[in-house]
Amino acid sequence: MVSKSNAVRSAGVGIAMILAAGGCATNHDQICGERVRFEYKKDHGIDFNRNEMLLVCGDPKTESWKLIPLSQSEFSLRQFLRNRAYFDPQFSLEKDSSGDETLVVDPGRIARSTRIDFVGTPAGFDRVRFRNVIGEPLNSDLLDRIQADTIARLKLMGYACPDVDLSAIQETGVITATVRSGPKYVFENPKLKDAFGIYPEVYTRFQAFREGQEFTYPWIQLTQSRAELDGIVVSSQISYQCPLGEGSTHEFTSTPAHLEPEQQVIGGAPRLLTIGAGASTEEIPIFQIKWKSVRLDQFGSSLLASVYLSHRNQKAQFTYSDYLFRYVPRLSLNPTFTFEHRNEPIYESSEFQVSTPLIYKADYDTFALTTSLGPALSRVYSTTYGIDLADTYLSLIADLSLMSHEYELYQADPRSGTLLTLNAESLSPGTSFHPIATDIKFRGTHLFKLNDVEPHQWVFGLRYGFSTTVTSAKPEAASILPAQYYQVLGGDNDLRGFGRYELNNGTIGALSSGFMGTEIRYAKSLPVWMEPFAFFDVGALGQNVFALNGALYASPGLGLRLSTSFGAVRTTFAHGYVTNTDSARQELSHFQFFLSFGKEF
Amino acid sequence: MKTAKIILLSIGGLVVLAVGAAVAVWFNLEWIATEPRLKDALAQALTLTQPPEHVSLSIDNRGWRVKHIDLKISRFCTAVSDSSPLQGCFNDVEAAFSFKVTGIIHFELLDVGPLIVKSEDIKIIPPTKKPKPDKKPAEPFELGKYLSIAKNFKVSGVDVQLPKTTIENAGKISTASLTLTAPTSDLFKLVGTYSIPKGIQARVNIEGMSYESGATPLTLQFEVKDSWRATGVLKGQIAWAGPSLSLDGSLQGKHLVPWLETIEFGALSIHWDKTLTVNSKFGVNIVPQEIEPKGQIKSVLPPATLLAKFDGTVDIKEVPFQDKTKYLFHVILGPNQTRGIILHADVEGELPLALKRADIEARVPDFQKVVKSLKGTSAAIPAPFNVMTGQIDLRIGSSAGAVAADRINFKIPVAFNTDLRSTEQTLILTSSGTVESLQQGKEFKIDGGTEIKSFKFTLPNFDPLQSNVSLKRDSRIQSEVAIAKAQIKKEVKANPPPSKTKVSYRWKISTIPSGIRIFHPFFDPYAPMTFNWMLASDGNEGKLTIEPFDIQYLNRTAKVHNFFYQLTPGEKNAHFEGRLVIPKTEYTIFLDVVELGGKAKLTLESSPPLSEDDIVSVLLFNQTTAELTPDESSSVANTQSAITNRALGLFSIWALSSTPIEAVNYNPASRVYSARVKLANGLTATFGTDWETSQEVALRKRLGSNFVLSTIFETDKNNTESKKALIEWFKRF
Repeated sequence: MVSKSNAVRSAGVGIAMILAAGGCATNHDQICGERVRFEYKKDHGIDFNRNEMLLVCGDPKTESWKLIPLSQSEFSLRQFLRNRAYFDPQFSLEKDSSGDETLVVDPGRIARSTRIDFVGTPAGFDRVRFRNVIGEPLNSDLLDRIQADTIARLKLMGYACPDVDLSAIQETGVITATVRSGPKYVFENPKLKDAFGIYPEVYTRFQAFREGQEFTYPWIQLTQSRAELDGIVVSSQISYQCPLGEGSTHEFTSTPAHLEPEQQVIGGAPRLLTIGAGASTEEIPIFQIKWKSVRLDQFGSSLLASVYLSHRNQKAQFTYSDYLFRYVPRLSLNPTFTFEHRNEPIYESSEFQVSTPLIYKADYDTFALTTSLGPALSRVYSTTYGIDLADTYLSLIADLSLMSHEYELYQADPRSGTLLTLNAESLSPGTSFHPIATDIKFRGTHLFKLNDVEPHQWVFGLRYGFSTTVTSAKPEAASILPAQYYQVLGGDNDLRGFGRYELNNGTIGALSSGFMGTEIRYAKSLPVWMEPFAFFDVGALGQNVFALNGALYASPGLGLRLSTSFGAVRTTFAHGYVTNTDSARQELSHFQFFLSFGKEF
Repeated sequence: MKTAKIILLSIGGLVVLAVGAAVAVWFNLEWIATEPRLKDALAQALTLTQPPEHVSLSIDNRGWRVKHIDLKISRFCTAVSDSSPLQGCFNDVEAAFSFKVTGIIHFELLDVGPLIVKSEDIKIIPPTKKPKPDKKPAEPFELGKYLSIAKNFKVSGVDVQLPKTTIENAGKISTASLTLTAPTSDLFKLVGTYSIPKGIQARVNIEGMSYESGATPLTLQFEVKDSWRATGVLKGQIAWAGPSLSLDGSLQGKHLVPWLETIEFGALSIHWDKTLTVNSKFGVNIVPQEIEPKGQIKSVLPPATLLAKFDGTVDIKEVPFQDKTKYLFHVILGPNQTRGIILHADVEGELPLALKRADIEARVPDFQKVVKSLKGTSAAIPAPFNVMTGQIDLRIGSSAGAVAADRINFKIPVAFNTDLRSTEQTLILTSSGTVESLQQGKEFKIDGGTEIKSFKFTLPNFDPLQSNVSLKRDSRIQSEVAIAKAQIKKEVKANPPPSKTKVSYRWKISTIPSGIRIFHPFFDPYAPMTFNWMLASDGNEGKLTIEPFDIQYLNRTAKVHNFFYQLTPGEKNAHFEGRLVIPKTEYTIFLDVVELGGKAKLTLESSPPLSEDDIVSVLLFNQTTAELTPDESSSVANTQSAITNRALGLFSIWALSSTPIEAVNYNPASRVYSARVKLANGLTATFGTDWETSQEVALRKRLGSNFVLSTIFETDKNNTESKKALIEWFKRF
C-alpha cells in the first residue's frame, strides 16, 4: 500500500486516495505527518478544512496548540466525522518499530436519510414532496436544508410565521420534522421607511399582491425584484414581524393578527448606466447600452436611452415614462422615439418611429395584466428581394399581456406559470388614419411541473401562437406593406427545426401563421447543471387572413439546458420536416442547431 | 422463758443439723448426683434417641474448698426437638475439672482435664420460635461474676473431636469441624474450619498454651476462602489475670471489595484488656482504576490507570461511651505517589461514624509529570493545557482543627489551588470552602469560593474564512440508545425520587479585574474578562464582563466596549448588552446589542449620524449608499433585512465589516443568510448553504462587483416576445 501524502494537509485538502496497486480494496491517506491514517473500505475520501486540521494535527506556529495528544485527535475526528454523518468510525492504533504510534481511522459507513416524517403539517402541505433529501448524508446541512425548504413551503402556503423542529435517528435514517405552522396571514400594504423623494404610492406600482390577499411569500420576492429590475431603486426589501411569534399555535379570533410589513428601499444614484453583452446563434453577438434616469419627479417618472446592437438588429430608443397621477401609480404615458435597423434573411429595414403608448399595469392574486394603447408615427425604409420601399405610416398599437406571477418570478429558471399576449397594430399610410393593414398576434406559453416535487424535476412546456395580417395587400416583394408586417415562422422562438424566419412562403411571408410547441425537460437532477429536454414543434402558414393552409411544418428535436451560475445556456438540435407539399419546399427539411444564452422556452 | 430456750435450742439444733447435712452433702456429692439422676437430667436436656448406658460422676474432695469432678458418659444419640437443637451421636464423653470455692457463689477453675468429646456427624438446628413479646428478657448471664480462672490453671488430656457439624439456620446450611487437643498445658492445639456451601471457608488454628506464668502464648491462624480471600497469622498471649489478650502478626485480604486487589495489615498489633486496641500498618493494592472521559465513546488509546498502591497506618481504640462502646480510629494514608500525584490523608474519628479530624491532600508538584504520565493514554491532558508547568493542590480538611461538631455532623474545610504556567498561558487560582454534614448526615452543605487570579488562554488560530469548526454534536441527530436514555431521564426528571440526602451549595467564582485573558491573533492584545459568579443550589447569579479590547482582522479594527452578561435570581432571562465600535475612514459605527425579551436586539448608530442603511453600507463597503454600486446596495439591503430578522449576530456583522465582502444575500423565506467574500488570490468564497439556491429565482443574478446577469423580457415586432440574458455592467451615478 502506498500513501499519497505524509505531509500535514492544509485546509480543504481531500483525503480521497486511490490505491490501485494489487487491486487492494482498501484506500488510505495520511494526515498529521504519519500520526493519523485513514483507511477506506470503499473508494471515497473526506475533506477537512484548515480549522479542523488545526484541532486534529495541531499548529506548529502556536506554542499552546503545537502538541495534540492522539486521544484529542481521536476525539476531534470523531466529532468531525459525525458532522459528516459517519456515526460509527472505527479507530485502531499501530505502533512501528521505533515506538511511534499511528491512529488508523476507518470512517465506516456514511449514514443516509431514509425517510422524512412530517408532523403537524397543515392540509395541502404533503402535496409537494421534497426531493434530494432521501439517500443524502444524514448531517446538519441536510437538516438545515429540510428546515429551510419546509419553512419556505409553509410561507408559500400562507403561513408567514412558521417554525420547524427537526430530529433524526442515526441508525434508521428517519427524519422527523415537527411543524408549527401558526395561523395563516393575509397581505397588508407595507409601510415604507424612506421614499427617496417620490410619492410612497409609486412603490405600489411594483406590488405583486393586494391588501387582504392570502399571504404568499414569493410574491414579496417578486415585488422586490420588479423594483430592482426597473432601476427606480437599487434595492427593495420587505420585512415583517411575526405578531404571535414563530410557530405560534394561537389562532386568530375576531381580530386577525397583523404582520405589519415594512418596505426598506435603497435609492442609489438616480442615473444608471448599463453595458451588457450576450449571444445566440440567431444574434451574434449582442451588445446593449442603457442609460436610465429614474425618479425624475415625485411620480417616479423615468427617461431611458438604449442602444441594442446585434448583426440582425440595431436599435436606438429613447423613452420617457411619464406617470401622470399620484394615486394611479400604474398608469403611464410613454413617449418613445425609436430608430431600428433590421437585417433579416428576407428583408432589410430601417425605421424611425415616434410613439406615445399609454400603459396601465394591474396585479391580481396570481397574475399581472399589462395593457398598452397608443399611436405611433413611423418612417420605414425597407428592401425586399431588391425592391426598395420608403413610406410613412401612422399606427395605432394595442398590447395586452397576462402573465402569471409564477411565470414572471421564475423567468430565469422556468418551471411553472402562464403567459398570454395579444398585440394588434393597425397601420395607415401617411399621417392620416386610414388603415390598410392590421397586424394581430396572439401567443401563449404554459409551463407545468409534472411531478409535485421540490425542487422541480419534470417540466412540461406548451406554447402556441397565431398571427394574422388583416390586409388586402398580398405578401410579395412589391407589396405596399413593409415585410415585417407579414407572418413568418422558423427559429428558436417557434419552430426550432428551421432557421430564423426560414418559413416565409418563399416570398416575404404569409398573411397568417400558427404554431404549437411542446417541450419536456428533466431539471435539477443531473450533474454539472445539465437539463436535457425533448421537444416537438409544429406550425403552418396561411395565404389568407385568419386561415392556415398549405404545408405543415414539424420539428422534433432534443436539447440541453445548462443552468450555470452565469446563466442558462440552451442548445437545441432538431430536424425540420415539411409535409404535404411540393419538392421545392422539401429543401426546407434539414437539421437545425441553435445555441442561445439566457433564452428559455 | 423455758419455752424460749426450747425454741432457741430447737432452731440451733436444726441449723447445726442443716449445716451438718450440707457439709455432709458437700463432701459426698455423689449422694445427689447419682447415675439415675444424671441420666434423667441428660434426658431432660436432650432428646435422646439412644440413651447412654453409663453415666458416672466421680467427685474427689481435695481439701475443704477444692473439688475435682470427673463426668463420664457412654455413647448416646440425640435428635432435634423444640427443647433441643442437637442431633447426632457422641462417643464416650468425659469431662473432668477442678475448682475452688472462693466466695459464696464464686468459684475458681483450677484445671481442666481430661476433656474428651468425640462425635460422629452432628447437626444443629437452632429453634426458630421467638420469645413471647410480653415476656421480660432474662438478664444476661455473666460467667465472670461467678467463675474465675486460677493463676496456675492447667489443662491436660483434652481431646475434643467434632469432625463434621452441620448447622441449619433459617434454611442456610453451613458446616464446621473442630479438633482441640491439649495433652498438657504447653501443647494446646485448636484446629477449626467453617464453611458454607457457596465457598466461604474459614480455618482457625491456635497452637501453644501455657498458663504457668499467668500468660498463655498462642498462635492464631485463619484462612477464609470465597470469591475473596483472607489469611492471617497472629501470635500473642492471653494473660489470664484480667484476663487480657495480645496478638501481633499480619492479615492479608484479597478482593474483599470489587476495587480492592489486596490489603495487607502488617505489624498488626491487637490488644484486648476489657477494651480493644488495634494498631497496624497497612498496604493496599487496588484494582487499577481507568480514567475515561465521562459519557464519551471508549477511546482506542489505552486507558490511564490511577494509583495502584497505598500504604499507611491505622489505629483503633475501644473506649466506653456512656452505656455503650465506641471505637476511636486514626488512619494515616501515604504519602503515596502515582502519575505525578502525591496523595496523603490523615483522618481521625470514631465508629459508629463520627469524623473528628480529616486532612486529605492530593498534590501535583510538577504538572508536566502528570502530562508525561498520561501521554499516550485515553486520558492524556489535552492541548492547550498540556504545555503548562506548575503545581496543583487539593486539600480536604486541615491538620489543625477538629472538625466534628457532634457525632456524624462535621465541617471539613476544602481548598483547591493551581499555579500552572506556560509561555502563553496561565491558570492560577485559589479555592477554599467547607463541606458540612448536618442532620446526622441527611444534609450536606457546601460553601466556598474560587478566585481566578490569572487565566490566560490561547485560542487556536482559526481562519474565519474557513467553515466553522464544531466539536459540538448536532443535538437533532441522535442514536436510538441516546433517545431512550433521554426519555428515561425526562421521566425521572418529571417524577424525581424522594432524595434521602439534601445537598445545598453556594460557591462563588470570581476573578480579579481582567483576570481572564483570551489570546488570539485577532485580539489586540487580548480579550480581557472579569467574572463574578455565584453557583448556588437555589439559583445561580453573577456577571461576566468583557473589558474593552480591540479586534483586528485584515487591517481593520473594531473596539469591544462594555459587554456584560448578567444573571439575576428570579429573572427568567439573563440580561446582556454591549457595544462594538468600528472606526471607519470618515465615520465611527456603534453596534449596540441589548437583551430584549430573551433575544438580542441590535441597534446601529454612527458618528456623525447616518441613516441605518448608510451605516450598514459604510460597514460593508466603507461608503454610504449613494456611492454604492447596485450590487453593493443590494447587499446592504439584504444585510439590513437579515439584521431585522435576527439572522445576523453582532460579531457576524463585524466579521462582514472586516471582510472584503463582495455580495451578501439573505433569503427571508428560508431565513438563510449567505455571503460571498473576496479572497486574497482573486478568488471568492461563499458562506452559507443558500447562496446558489437563493440566486435561482432572482431576475438579476449577481455575478460579482458591478456585474449582473439580467433576464430581459421584451416584445419586438416579429417575435412578439423575446427573452434574453445579458451579462451587464452597472454603474449608478
